Amino acid sequence: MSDDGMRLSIQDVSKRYGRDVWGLRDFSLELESGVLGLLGPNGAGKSTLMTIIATITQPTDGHVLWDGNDIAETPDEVRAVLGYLPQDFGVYPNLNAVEFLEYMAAIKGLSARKASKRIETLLDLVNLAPEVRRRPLGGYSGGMRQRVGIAQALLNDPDLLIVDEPTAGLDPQERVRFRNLLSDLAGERIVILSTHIVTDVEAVATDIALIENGRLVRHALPEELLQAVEGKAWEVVVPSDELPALKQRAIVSSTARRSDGVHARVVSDQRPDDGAVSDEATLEDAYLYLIAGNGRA
Amino acid sequence: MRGLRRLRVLVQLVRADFLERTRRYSFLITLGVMVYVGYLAVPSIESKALTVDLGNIRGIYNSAWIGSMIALISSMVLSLPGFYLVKNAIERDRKTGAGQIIATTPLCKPLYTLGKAVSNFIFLTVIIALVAIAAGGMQFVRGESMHLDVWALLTPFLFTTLPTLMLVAAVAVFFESISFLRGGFGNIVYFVLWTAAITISMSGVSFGSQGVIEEPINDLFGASVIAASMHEAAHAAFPEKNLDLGIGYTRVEGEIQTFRWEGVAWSADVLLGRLLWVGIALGIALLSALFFHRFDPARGGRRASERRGLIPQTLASVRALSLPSLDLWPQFSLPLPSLPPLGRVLVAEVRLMLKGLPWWWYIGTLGLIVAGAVEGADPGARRGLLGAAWIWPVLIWSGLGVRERRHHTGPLVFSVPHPLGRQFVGMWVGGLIVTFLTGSGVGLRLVASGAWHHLLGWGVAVLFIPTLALALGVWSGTSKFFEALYVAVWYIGPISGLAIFDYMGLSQEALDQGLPFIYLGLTAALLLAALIGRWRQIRG
Repeated sequence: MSDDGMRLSIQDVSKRYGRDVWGLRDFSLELESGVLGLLGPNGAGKSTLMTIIATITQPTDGHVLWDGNDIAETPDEVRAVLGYLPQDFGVYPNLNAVEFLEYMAAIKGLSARKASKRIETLLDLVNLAPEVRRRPLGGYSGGMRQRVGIAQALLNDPDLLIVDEPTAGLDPQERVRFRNLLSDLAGERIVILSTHIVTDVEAVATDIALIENGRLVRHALPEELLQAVEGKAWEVVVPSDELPALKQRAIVSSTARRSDGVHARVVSDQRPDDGAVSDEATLEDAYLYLIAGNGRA
Repeated sequence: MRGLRRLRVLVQLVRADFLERTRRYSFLITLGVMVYVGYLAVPSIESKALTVDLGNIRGIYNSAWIGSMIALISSMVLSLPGFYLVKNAIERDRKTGAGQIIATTPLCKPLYTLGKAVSNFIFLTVIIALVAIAAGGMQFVRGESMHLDVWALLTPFLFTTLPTLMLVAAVAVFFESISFLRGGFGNIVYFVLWTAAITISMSGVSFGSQGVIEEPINDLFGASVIAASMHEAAHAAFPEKNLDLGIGYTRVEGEIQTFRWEGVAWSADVLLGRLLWVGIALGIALLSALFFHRFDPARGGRRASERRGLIPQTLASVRALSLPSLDLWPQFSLPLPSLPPLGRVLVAEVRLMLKGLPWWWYIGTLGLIVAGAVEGADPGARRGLLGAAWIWPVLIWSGLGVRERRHHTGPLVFSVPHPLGRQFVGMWVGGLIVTFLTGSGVGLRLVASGAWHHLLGWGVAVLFIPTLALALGVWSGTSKFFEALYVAVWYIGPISGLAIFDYMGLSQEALDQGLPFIYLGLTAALLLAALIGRWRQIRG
């Protein structure tokens, strides 16, 4: 299990693709135990950051230090304590779940006895039924394969767990189960959870990093982000034909059509309409305000 | 209107495929190789080498001779790698998911398969067009005739090479449309067909007392048309000579005499003979539509996992012969044995290689081992048995170094500790074990009979084959490269007896030349290359 001094330090990391396309730009972050929710729109650089920390990609500039050691120089130190669930990964279709996890355990260097116990525990944890475990992975649904992916990431009881869009393909019940699992894991290790589903982060993250265009927009506690939009969330009812105009002048996070018009949830510094009613701000409001709106000004 | 719309669809299909292919390195490499082949096809005037030999007689290097020689050799040479280059048009649509979108459009199946065949053909035609231009250049490089006759230079390409390539293009679509020919098994079947076509075509150009007998249906490559015309001209110039035709790079003894040949008189009969192949090609392209299942995941003779592109093509091809598989690894449904870490990785890797193979593969392996142990002392039997034993696992070897890309497990496998020292080594040694086991019957017999020199060749082959597969797999990212190259070398070397390629050390000539030591050195270089390639992959 991890030391108390466990620390991940991301220092001015940049990643350039080709001549002038930047996946990450001067990205810095200091992490200790807890769950970091990495939030950002598609193409923001989340997966690039993840693959750099997972030692799969080399940064163009900057350093990532694990307990003070540069992971580019000594990658095996962090690999030994790393659990990684990529956004897009494959499995060997002729192996069953147990065999695949045994294979992964072997190449991760786990002893036979430890691996055997761990695999059974993890397959229970991800709720993969015993009769399914012996079926070739090639016949699994996307959600079942994702659960095997989650299990392989936890095989070595990692100190650093990186999960990229982990709930993609999971049904609502499994999604809640996975969120609870991440919550249980928190506190003992550093967990980096990348997603664009704000509700996933809301449920488990101890702190949140907002990323856009490869740059860190904000790193804060969830309550600090909520404070940033306090008094800025509104509910307003407008006729259908006025909705486009409302979207032009304010951030509309959701709409619902009712008999009296369209009920729109708006994030705005000013009251968007005379009839607008102030509402309690959510993390989604904060995300939209800081990423899509003018909150950075 | 409808016809125009169909034509537009066809053009768009062809355009997308063409752009995708010509932006790959493999296009440039093939182009470079083909131009080099064209260069080799016209040996310098001072050299004692010939590529079309009529018994120390050749034609003057004019447009007709150079064009015909290079067109004929291109027909034969490009039809092998050309097939492997273009046999991915439907597969790409399947893998990218574009196929399912295409399937929802009004595009009909015959138009799709025809479009893919035309697309394949245009791609190959571009390569040949550039080779033809290079051929014109070669005429001036050799400088024996400075008169450029464009018609005489280009017509052999037009009338002999292009019909052959049209057939190659259509056959590639046909193979892609049939599930069990889609992968590595199909690649091997094509090689066998290609070898047979070459043999039949060449048997048609051997001279009898009446000269060359043209049999268009036997002459896929158009060799007899050109050979007959050359024979006629040569016979007129040297009526006293006994003309004996040979095609291929050969060094000759004595003086080389020349004669003037102005090319084939392209009569209607000859052109009809060549058009016959174009017609056959179009027929095959349209016939493919019968087997093409329009990306329907519920059809195609594949299991659900394969339909999602998850099963290795090669194993899927073997399994698609509709025989039940037998899981010979039930013991490994239990935890892997308690071994040191590297031992556990090794067992896991071997299991990964052998999992999912059909039962008859194991029976065949056992048969080859037993037969090798019983009959392996006899040189003739040894050639056949070891040859069979070491082509049998070709689809297992071709997965080495490719699996992580094929199944997209790289992010998982490359982020573990010591990926080179553990997983890479395990994979390589696993490949050695499979090679050792499949060839063990002959190996045992060699030990028993004390044939130590042959045992050395055998041992080097155990190291060489999986290392070659691993290096090519890591660097090319595809199993096709190894499958095509290995089968070709296997056929030319150990089976046909060309000593330089006899990596198994089956012939005494190979042993006398010390080839096992050369292949051992080559193995070391390939292992280093594989290691560097994998290191680059891990470093992203």
